[in-house]
Amino acid sequence: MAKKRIGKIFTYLFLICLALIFLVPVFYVFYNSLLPKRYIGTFVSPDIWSFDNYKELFTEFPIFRWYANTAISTVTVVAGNIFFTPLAGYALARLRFPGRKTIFLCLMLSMMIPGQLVLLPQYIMMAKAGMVDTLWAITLPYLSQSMFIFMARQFFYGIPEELEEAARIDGLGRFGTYFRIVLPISGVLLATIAIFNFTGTWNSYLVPSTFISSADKYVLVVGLQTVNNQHFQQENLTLAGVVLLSFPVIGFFMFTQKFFVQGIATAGLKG
Amino acid sequence: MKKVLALLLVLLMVAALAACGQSGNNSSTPSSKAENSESSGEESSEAEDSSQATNEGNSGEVVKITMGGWGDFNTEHEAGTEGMADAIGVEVEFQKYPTDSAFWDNLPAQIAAKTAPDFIALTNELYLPYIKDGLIVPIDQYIEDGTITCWDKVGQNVKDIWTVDGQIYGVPYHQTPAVFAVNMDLWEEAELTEADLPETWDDVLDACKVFKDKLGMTGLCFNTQEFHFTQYCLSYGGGWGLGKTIDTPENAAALQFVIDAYREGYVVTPKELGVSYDGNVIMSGDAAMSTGGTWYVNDFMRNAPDVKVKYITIPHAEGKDDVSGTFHAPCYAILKGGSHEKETAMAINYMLNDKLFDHFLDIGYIPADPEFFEPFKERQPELASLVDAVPKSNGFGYPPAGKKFADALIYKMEEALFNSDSTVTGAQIVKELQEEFGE
Amino acid sequence: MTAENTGGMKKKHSKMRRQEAVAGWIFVLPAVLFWLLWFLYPALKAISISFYQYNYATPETNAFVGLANYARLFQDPKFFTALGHSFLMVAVIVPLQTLLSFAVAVMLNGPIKLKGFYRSSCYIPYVISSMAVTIFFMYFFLKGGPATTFFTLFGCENVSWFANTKYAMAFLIIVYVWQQVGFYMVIFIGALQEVPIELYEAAKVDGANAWQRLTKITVPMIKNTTYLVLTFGMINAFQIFDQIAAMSKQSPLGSPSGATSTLVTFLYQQSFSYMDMGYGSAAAVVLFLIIFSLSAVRETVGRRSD
Repeated sequence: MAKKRIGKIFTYLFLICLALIFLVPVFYVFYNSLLPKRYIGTFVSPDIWSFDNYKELFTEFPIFRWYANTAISTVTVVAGNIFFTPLAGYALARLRFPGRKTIFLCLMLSMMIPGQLVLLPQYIMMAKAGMVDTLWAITLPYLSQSMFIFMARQFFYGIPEELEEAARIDGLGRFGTYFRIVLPISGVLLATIAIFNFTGTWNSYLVPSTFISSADKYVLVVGLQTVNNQHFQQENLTLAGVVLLSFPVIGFFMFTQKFFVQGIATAGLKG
Repeated sequence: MKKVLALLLVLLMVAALAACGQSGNNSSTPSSKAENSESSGEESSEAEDSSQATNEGNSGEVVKITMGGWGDFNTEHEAGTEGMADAIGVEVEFQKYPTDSAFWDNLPAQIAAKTAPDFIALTNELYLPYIKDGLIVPIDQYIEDGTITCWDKVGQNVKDIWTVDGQIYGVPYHQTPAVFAVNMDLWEEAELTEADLPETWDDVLDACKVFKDKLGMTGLCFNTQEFHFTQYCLSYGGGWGLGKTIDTPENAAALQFVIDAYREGYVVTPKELGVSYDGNVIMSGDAAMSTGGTWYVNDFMRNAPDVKVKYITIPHAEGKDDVSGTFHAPCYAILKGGSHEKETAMAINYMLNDKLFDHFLDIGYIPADPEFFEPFKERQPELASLVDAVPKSNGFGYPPAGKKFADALIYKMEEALFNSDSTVTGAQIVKELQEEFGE
Repeated sequence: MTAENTGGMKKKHSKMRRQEAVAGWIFVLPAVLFWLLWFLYPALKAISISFYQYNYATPETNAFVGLANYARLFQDPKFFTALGHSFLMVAVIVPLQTLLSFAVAVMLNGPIKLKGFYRSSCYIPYVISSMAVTIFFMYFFLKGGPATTFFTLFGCENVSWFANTKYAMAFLIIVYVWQQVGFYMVIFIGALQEVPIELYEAAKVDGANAWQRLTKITVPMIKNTTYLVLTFGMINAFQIFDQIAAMSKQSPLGSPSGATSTLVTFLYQQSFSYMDMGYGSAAAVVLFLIIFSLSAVRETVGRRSD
């Protein structure tokens, strides 16, 4: 019995250390974002702490505009992926049709090509379509991402086929089966896609910095780069920016995590 | 069934592509550029008001052109554009890119897609590849036909910088030598006086010794960037000579000095402190001296007004009294592929006006027009010595490979500095660089 | 369609098959269209560029050079350094993050209080931008910083890890794994919940200890998830970019002195910084071929063991 208790204490100690390793850096950055430029990285008395960096960001830069742009593009992309990728994943897992294997293979290929490579050809295409420097450029091409099709396919392999068969016997067509029977029990899949896609899109830098070039259409990550001087970086503003950038995502995750992690745990995202 | 589906797919594809092509035709360059405003904030709305006034006045249409840049570049150039729409019927909009690399990395694609700005401020550092690759339009014809007259205003040394293979690629607007910044608070803490301020690199070493012994700290800071290494090379009487003089004893000695000082424990680099800018190091008091530029002045005024800093000319090697570091001589350069080349030339010519130069005096840049040298001394007494350093300073003189050379230099220097087992010497570095990049 | 005279059952069957095929195509159509338009065309274009001396801005000087770019790659020592680093990182990162995330998942799958809290704290790094995460970590691995001091106990030097040619790669791997563990942990937890509890109970009755239950039941039962984690892990580890860019700050990518250069930073530098699009694209194609063949090998090995 004593041995078991010691084991338990040890487990908790370990977990607390683990949580600290993950959380302390986050707090440390928040602390640094409160300091003037010259004190960054040092420990100073609380008298010097202030929200001046944040004030400067909000007064000198259109932060709300950038938040809005980020939110609009992120929500659009997430909505697209939630709709299109389970659809494709379901078909690839469940329906037999000619070309299924080829399509799956093709979609997988797009995960293996470095994104930097296709960026400029995309840019030229986008410019021809008149979409450069609009939010379309950072949403339209990303509405259906192969990674999520892959995840969706794995998920649908894992749910029992009997349900669908029953529905079909009741006279529901393929579409009816998918939308009325399959989707309602796929909340976990949708939540998983949503959170992975949300964080990825919210934080992406390379794509928006290539496709968007006017300040009123920047997303937050890109806009925060412009707080720097021509000749040097403003570390204090960057740190405050990092907090502003991460805050909504952490909030979103905290808000959905119960559903998300617990949900996955109950329904399972099977390999 | 298979065929029907395939056909359907092809049809959809064709429709999609056709749609793309069509909208591509619709979006001609001027209209897409016209939307890129806002970056210059209030200033541009004022300009718009005045442009409307002109529209009513002389019914001539105002041509909008864009200037590309990053950071707070628009604040630097705004002064020059005042009243431009009224005077020449051209209006400049500032298009801000998040970082310099976001700009340069995508510039070729932007030129191909006709979304690039009409002109930019180009520094005399890594400019040669852009000229060599044809991204910059020579302006000789506009000087000949009298569109650009301000070329005559600027000093000969900066004219030389921007004349490449007999063609002129831009009009330089200021020429400001690099500075050596000294944190006087630390200087005094180490019981050094103004008389001890270094003139030579040996003086710097002496001061470093004092800092190490008295305060147990690093005295010198340099950033591991080509800008800083080049200061040392030039002030040793060396320099890259556009690739002709990389492997010289002077350059070898300069880099060796840097390496030795670092190994001696006299130096801290911003990189090791997790920051990217040498000014931060002087500000936070992790070192007392650094090579830098006049941009320090405004930064310190804003972020650390109580830190006392003195700006002196770049020290030189013993016995090389006639040399100093580099000077910046950025120019306005026209980018390839713009649809308003002539108007851009007019705008550039307009921008080199007294208002711009007056603004430069305020922010610590020495205007390219030598007439402003004396006014600069009056306006910036702290930086007055820089004017005398102009003739001793030189352009950066990087080889035509530009960034590739700079990266290779940094790569080798980082190996020498940040690998404690490294036995790389300055002589080896310049020899290897000469082999790869020599002209 | 020609089967009018065959039996009713068969007719019905073939009709269903046809319906299924139509439905299948309609379901995947949007994804396929996106793929064709936004991936296939640009990818083919990029691959074709690898056979050219190419600059977007100066189409008049672009020239077909055949395999010259590839030939150049195989004589470029910097390319081989980058290639070596890429393989090293995959070889270290993939097993490390798989093991760690599996261990944490197993631990957090047990009867533990405040599960949600621990899970969230592990997952938070993944939801924050990689650039931000790297900035966080740099403060810890400064000369004299807490992590650096800790590691001196194991004989490491007291230097800023990210600015030292010997430690920069280790720093990069630590940052990357720290960030990714939460993601794979979530996937593992999902799979663990699916393992029927009866199996464990039966094993307990048979006298299997905790370790045996883990290796004999858990590991085989979640094999498919492990494959997924390995595949994702490998593909992503080959394409690490943001963390390196954040570490390098204003220095050339892969700083210090190329210690963190990888195939991706190599291709980025060549294509963008040095405006040598053809050469960079050739490097990208090589990277793609490597990932593709490793995935194919993984797939066959996975199949065979089934």
